[in-house]
This record gives sequence, C-alpha cells and structure tokens, in this order.
Amino acid sequence: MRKKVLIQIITSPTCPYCPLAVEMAERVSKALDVDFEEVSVATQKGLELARKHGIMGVPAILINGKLAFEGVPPSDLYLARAVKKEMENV
Amino acid sequence: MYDLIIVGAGAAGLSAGLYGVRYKLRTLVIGEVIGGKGMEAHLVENYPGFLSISGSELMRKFREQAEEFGAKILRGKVVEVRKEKGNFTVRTLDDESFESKAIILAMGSERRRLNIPGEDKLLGKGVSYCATCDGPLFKGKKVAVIGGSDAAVKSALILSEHAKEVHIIYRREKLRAEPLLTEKVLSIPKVKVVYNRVPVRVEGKEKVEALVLKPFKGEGKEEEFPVDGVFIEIGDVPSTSIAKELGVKLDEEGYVEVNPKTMETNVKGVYAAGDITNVTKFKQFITAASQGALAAYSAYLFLKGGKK
Repeated sequence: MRKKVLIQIITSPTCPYCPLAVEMAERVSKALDVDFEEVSVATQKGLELARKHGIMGVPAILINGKLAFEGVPPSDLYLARAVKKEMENV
Repeated sequence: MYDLIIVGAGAAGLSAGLYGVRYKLRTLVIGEVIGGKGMEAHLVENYPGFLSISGSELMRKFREQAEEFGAKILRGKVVEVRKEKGNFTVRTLDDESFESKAIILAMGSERRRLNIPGEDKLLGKGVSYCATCDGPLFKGKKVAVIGGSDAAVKSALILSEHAKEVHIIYRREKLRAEPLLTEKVLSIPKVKVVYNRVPVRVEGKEKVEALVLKPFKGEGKEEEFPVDGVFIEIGDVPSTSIAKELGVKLDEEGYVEVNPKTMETNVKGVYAAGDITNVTKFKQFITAASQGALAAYSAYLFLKGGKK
C-alpha cells in the first residue's frame, strides 16, 4: 500500500537556493512515490507554517509536518533517507 | 575519462566550462550550487551586456551557454580530488567518482563568520548569511546587518523592503560601500547606522532576541541591542579544504596561489579560478569569469602538450 508521506518545502520568492530544494524534493518524491508541495512564505499558509515551526531561514523541509531540514540537504540521498524513515512510522 | 573537470559551478567554473568545450575538451563541471554564490546577488548592474539582471538569472544564462556547447554540468558536493599516475580522481559526497587529465579549482568562497557566542546556535533562528533568501521572513521585524561593505549595504537595502527597522552595525566611522549604494541606503528613513560598534554575542533562547555590542575603539561598556534578526555580511573566506589535501599551495591569507598569466597552481595539471585565487581582492562576476576562461585555455594548452 502507498505510504502517506508529504514533503513540504518552505521557500521565499527571492531565495536562490530554494529551487534546488524543490527540484530535489520533486526527484525524491517521484522515486519514493510520495507527495510533495512547495509553500512560499509570501503566502499566509507559508508564513503560518514557518511561524509554527520557528523557521527563520529558507529553504526548510518538513516531512509529515515535522521539521527535517533547514537549508538544502547535502544530496538526494539525505532527503530520501529522512523520507524512508518517516515511511516506516506511518 | 574527462579531459577537464572543474570543481565549482559559479561564475568562474561555468565560464571555464564554456571555454573548455569551446576548445573541444571533454568537460565536466561539478558544483554544490549551480551558479555558486553569484545566485545570491539581488541585482547585477555591472556585468557588461546586461543593464540590470539578477544574479540567479545571469548564472542561468552562464549555465545554458556552457551546456549548449556540450559541457556536462552536475550538482554534487566534491569531497576529494586525488592525483594518481598523472590523472585525477574526483569523488563526491554520494560516492560517485569521475576521472580527468586536468582540474580547475573554482570552489569560490564561503561566508566569514563572526565567531562569537550564539552565532552557531541561533543560525536559522534569526542569524542569517543571506538577506536575499530570508528577508521575507522578517516582515515587520527589527533586524541588524553586521558590516559596512557593498554586500552589507545591499543586504540592508533588501531588508528595508521587509523589516520595520534595519540597523547597520559597523566598526568604523564611515561605510565603505560604493558611494551610490551608500547614498541610497542612507536616504531610507527606516535604515540607521550604528558606527564604532562590534558585536560580542548573539542572545536568545529559541530565537534571536538581542545583540550585545561594544565600542570598537576606545573604552565603553557592553550594551544590549534588541533585534529579531542578525544578518552577517563581513566578507568571505576561500573554500580551500580540497585544494589543501591535493597539495596546492595557498598564500598566507588562505587563497590559492596561481600564476596570474596562466592560472596554474604549483601542482601540475591543476589550475584555479575565481574567488578562491590570490589574483585580486576585486571579487566580481567579471573577474571570476575572466579567470575561468584563462584557466580553461591554459588547461587546453597543457593537455595538447604545448606550453602551460
């Protein structure tokens, strides 16, 4: 059965490193068949998410609502590992 | 086996990549961030051919041009470059290996840290090195920018679009940014400059609550300066750990020593370009790009067996 995992990338419109994190999440979510979404802090939802998790730097990555990375993960493997760990818990 | 591997994918690396393929070298560019630190530049208004362009857009164009002519560009963190029997092996964090006959080191530089208590602990919790990235998260807040250079003033300008108050903390008596930028920043009412002060520590439990400052010159007590964010813009240090392990000679400030006519280092087959080198303190897109071009040309002459 498909595991319900959501990767959320918190971004800002002017952040040059955010597209790297988004591209990475796109690849990893495809490879592991999980969902991902980009949430900009320029939106109310993004700002609320950032405040809720105390995020003051972007990109940041939430996996199933838990703060997993602040900054771009060093490689796809690191993100994939964190997602797989979450998959074991759901 | 590649002819040329370029480590670093900023202005110098991508320019070297373009010149490498133009000389028909099998060329690979590997970098952690394609576009490098140039991606952070808000607006570039001094790269000829473009009246005004964002750093990320300029770097996208560099990348597209290099790829158009056949350079392979790969995102990855290089952890080691080894020389064996005249060839080089480049290893990434994901444990991929690539081989080449020549190397150009173009890893650029990383942000200089204040090295004060609280800086590491509160990184991402109000301490930032990238106003372009994190500025929007400080909407309506009070922030400080540490430094007085072009980068510091540009950060203050960006932050003034979001924050309620921006305080530039600088140790000297006068900002040293370009006169045009300085004039612009000083004309914004919400931007204030605190001269002759240096930060001693960043305070806060879960997030930044205050900076503690003291006079740079003369006697004076430490004073608390409440802020929600601290943006550190006090320059850069070259990223040379890979170069050191390869046996490349650095100057006393830690920059890679090169022959400025050829960009060659003391290690045969290894060249360097951009912010990592000791060629100039004038770190610009155009100087990085020109060094990249020159390094690729020298690597080409070396590979075809001509003079280095």
